[in-house]
Amino acid sequence: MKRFVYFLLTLVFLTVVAFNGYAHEGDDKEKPHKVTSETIKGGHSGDTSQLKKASGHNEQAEAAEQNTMEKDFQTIRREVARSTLFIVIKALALAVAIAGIALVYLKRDKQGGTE
Amino acid sequence: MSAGSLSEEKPWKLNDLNYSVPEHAEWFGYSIGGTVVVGFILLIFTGIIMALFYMPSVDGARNSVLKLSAAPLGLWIRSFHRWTAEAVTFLVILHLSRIIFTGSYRGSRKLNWIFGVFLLFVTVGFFFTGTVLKWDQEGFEAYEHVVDTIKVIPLIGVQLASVLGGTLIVMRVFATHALVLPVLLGLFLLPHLALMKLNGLSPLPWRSSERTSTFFAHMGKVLWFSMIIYGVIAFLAAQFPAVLYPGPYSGVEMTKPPWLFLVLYALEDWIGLYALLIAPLIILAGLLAVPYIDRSTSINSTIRKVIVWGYILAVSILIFLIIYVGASPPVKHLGMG
Repeated sequence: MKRFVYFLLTLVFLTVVAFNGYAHEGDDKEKPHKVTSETIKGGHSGDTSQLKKASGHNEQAEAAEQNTMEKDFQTIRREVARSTLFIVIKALALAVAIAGIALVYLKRDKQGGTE
Repeated sequence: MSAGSLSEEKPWKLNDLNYSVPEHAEWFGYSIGGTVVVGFILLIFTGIIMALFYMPSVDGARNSVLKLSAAPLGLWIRSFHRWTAEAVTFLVILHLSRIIFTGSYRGSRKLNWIFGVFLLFVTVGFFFTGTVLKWDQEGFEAYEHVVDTIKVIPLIGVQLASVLGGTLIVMRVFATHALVLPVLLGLFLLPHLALMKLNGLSPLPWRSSERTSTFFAHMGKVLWFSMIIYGVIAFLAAQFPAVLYPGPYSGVEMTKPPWLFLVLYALEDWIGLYALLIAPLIILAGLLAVPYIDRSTSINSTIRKVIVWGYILAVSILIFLIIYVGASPPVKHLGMG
């Protein structure tokens, strides 16, 4: 029983430690662009200028596209931040469920003895 | 065979399925596998409805998901499918844990354990391909990770990635999700269930069951537990609809994978793309090796304790990494080698 208490305490401790993130952001090497079948045909270079020329893109359209992209990025960042709580809850739920199963079967296992 | 012996054969009755099983078959721990099967049935039903709306193409996939979400009950069906997929994965891990803790992988159940391990990987495969199929920013980044991981395979990687990529990629992932994986699921699940019938339900490790129950009573409990679990899932699907990110955009990494894959995400951050290639193989090999490492017959053997505590340690690390990465901001991996 004591071992499971230690196990759970360790998990709680690790959860607190986990909030000290480790990320290294902002090293995008490729110019962001919307993925379409045309850009996939053209490879992953990120250079869509030829495609834009061919399809008659003008500066106004490009500015509107940039604006949409920025808005989309904001939405993605917001949703990713919102998902954090769910991830932590799901992981802790899994930990508690496994600990519960271990408690039921290993505790009795210890009390029982013969097979 | 003579005509006389044929006439003596008893006609098959539904009640023939109602054979005796140990009493503990009615416990939740021994019904988790059944709730997983119910989950897969629900996933097939909702998946068929979703397939009626889905357009498996680079330009049409995300829009078709949006159209489905706008249809009556469409968003709830999509959310229920997503939440059920998460619940099934969760239950598969619990089922695996129960098998480990009761030592039910030993002896004649060794082969069934192997089928079970493959079923775990098929489940994870469903989860992954389902994520890509949304073809939003999360799905696209997941796809890009796989392509870049394939590229690091020595000798054949680059050629293989070019064959698997291209404009038909969404169609191929859809075919994998809706055809290849269901076939594999059937191929592994049918012998898994047949072997369970053949070996009988694994006994409790600490005592042999004296009282018995019936298979129908066991199924009744499975349905009862399933109603509770998937009832909660139906509620969660209504309250917290599945997210569909904008995009997809190439050249940025802004999302994180679903919680199950966050372990690989952390390893990728520390080791690089090779981690995505090697870590699943190590996990697969480790799980397959369990019944070969523990050949003991006693429940108190040292080797069994090593397996149990090794598993608890591995799960603790897994959960720690999920929380650690889950609480950290997304980082860029691709193009870092």
